[in-house]
Amino acid sequence: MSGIVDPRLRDGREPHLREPAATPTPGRPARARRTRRVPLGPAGLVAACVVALAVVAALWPALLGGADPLAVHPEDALLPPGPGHPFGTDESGRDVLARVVAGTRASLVVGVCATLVGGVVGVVLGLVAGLGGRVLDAVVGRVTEVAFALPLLLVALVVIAVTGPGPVPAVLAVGAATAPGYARIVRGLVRTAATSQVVETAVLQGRSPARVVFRHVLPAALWPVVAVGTLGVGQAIVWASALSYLGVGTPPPAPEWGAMLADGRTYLQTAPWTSTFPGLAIVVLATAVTVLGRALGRTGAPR
Amino acid sequence: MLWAVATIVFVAIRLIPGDPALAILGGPGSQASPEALEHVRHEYGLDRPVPVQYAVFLGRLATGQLGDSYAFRTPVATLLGEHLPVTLTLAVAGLVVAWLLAIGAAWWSTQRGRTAAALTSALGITASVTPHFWLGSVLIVLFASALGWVPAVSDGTPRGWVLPVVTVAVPVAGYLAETIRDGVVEAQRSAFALAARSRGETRAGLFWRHLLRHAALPGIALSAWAFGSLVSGAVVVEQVFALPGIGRALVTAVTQRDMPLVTGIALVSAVAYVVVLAVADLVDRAVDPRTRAPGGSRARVRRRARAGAR
Repeated sequence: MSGIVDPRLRDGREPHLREPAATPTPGRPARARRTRRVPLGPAGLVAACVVALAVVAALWPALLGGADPLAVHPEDALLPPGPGHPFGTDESGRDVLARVVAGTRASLVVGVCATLVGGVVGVVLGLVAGLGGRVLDAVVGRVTEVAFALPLLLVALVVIAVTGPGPVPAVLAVGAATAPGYARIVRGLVRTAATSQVVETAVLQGRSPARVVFRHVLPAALWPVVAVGTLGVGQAIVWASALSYLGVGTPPPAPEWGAMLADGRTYLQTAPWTSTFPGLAIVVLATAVTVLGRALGRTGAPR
Repeated sequence: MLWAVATIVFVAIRLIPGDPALAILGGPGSQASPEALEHVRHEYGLDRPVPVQYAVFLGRLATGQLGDSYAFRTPVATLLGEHLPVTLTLAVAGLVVAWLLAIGAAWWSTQRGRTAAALTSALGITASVTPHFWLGSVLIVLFASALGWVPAVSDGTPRGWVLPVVTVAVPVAGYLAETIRDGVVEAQRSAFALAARSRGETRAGLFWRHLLRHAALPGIALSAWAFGSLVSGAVVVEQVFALPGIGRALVTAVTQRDMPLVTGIALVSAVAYVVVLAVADLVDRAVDPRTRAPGGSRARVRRRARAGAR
């Protein structure tokens, strides 16, 4: 399955994309059949470790960074990487390593929050479209279609134009830009679940509609959304830092990877390390989250 | 479709906190006099009821009037005319390069054993999450500063386009490569692949003549989305390489809340999406004989028959 494809494209109409790998892995049939879930795999484990490291950096930046990410030392400006400053210093003499570590929190929080916003809005819209009858379905369908016609960054920038720049608008912007994709996936899954025998039986047993939705329909749609959402966090981190790079996300003094890259642009020729390391951090974290999301998508085949 | 985009943008404009008249006069810092604000409000029709404004807005759009940009004080259509070619060149060239890279990667990953497959898959994932702005910087440092092969800031020559185009293309190529590779792997298992091999088709011939045609279909379906992604990328890459494209105009428009310009750019993107979707549909027909009209396929069968008789 093409797990890295933008979640917006993976709607429920493409069964080969959302069908979890229920069949055992060809190489190890016996073991896969015995365990209920396919294991994460080595790549997934490495990715999980990287993500765990990022979480540590986000919670206790002092453990890894050491120096104060905001302390200005003009006499140490633009020092190349070396002892004392493994990643060098930026134009104000701030330690790049400390700033990269401190920036993890902003990136992770924005990435996770944006995905949560997008996911929750998407799940609600998808439930409404999937269960709410023809008119609601058509309305939600129209809105998502329009959102697909616009480039993701454009949607995000339009939201920023409405709210004004800042970290919270960046979360809302990326969330709003990704929500239609989740809505589409959830709609497809909900449709499938609503016509399943489990739901039919529950309805025949006289269960209340709310109970049927929350006990039977929603759980069926949730796991694929969690897997796709993990993939989405990687993308959200990249887009949020792109907004910061464009100067409409997190404002400058705070350490944020995209904003650091924007600052480092001026010194690209003389001090490439000021932009190399924050960029590398984005790539490594986004790759790890994506790999983890794919691994979760593969393991998500209980029953 | 376009009407829906226009409506959503109109609603978004209405949601903006703050006085649009103030934005027209240069933002809160401009200290415009109340008379000037009143004058601007009247001039732009902002003192009329919202439904009337909406009707006027739609009427203008229907007749092709996009209005004047608040920030640049020139018609939006003129601005789009100036900036659009740069962005379109970037996106179209990016799409072509992305396809070439993706097909190359798919060939490499399916024909050169398991190590190559794992390597291209890892590269594909990394490429697809690499931020454009960082990739652009790295390419500048490597190929412009250190090696001096191409200029760092675009100078209008074909050489100046190399880095920006590669930068927008790489992340999309990551997605496409993964999709095409999956398609090739699936096609390799099918009966027609075995049949072609047993007819004496070489491995390369099998890939280029049979598997690729099959595997390209999901990629083509992705292309309309990929184009949108390329436009998103172009917005960022224009900043990195100081290209005078629509993306830079958009960022200016967003920071200055220049709504006519934002509306214009949103509408143009929607039009571009529809056009690319149509082109992708045509390409899909050209590649996939099943979607072709009966006449076309019969001609093809005849051609095949003649080739077989020879």
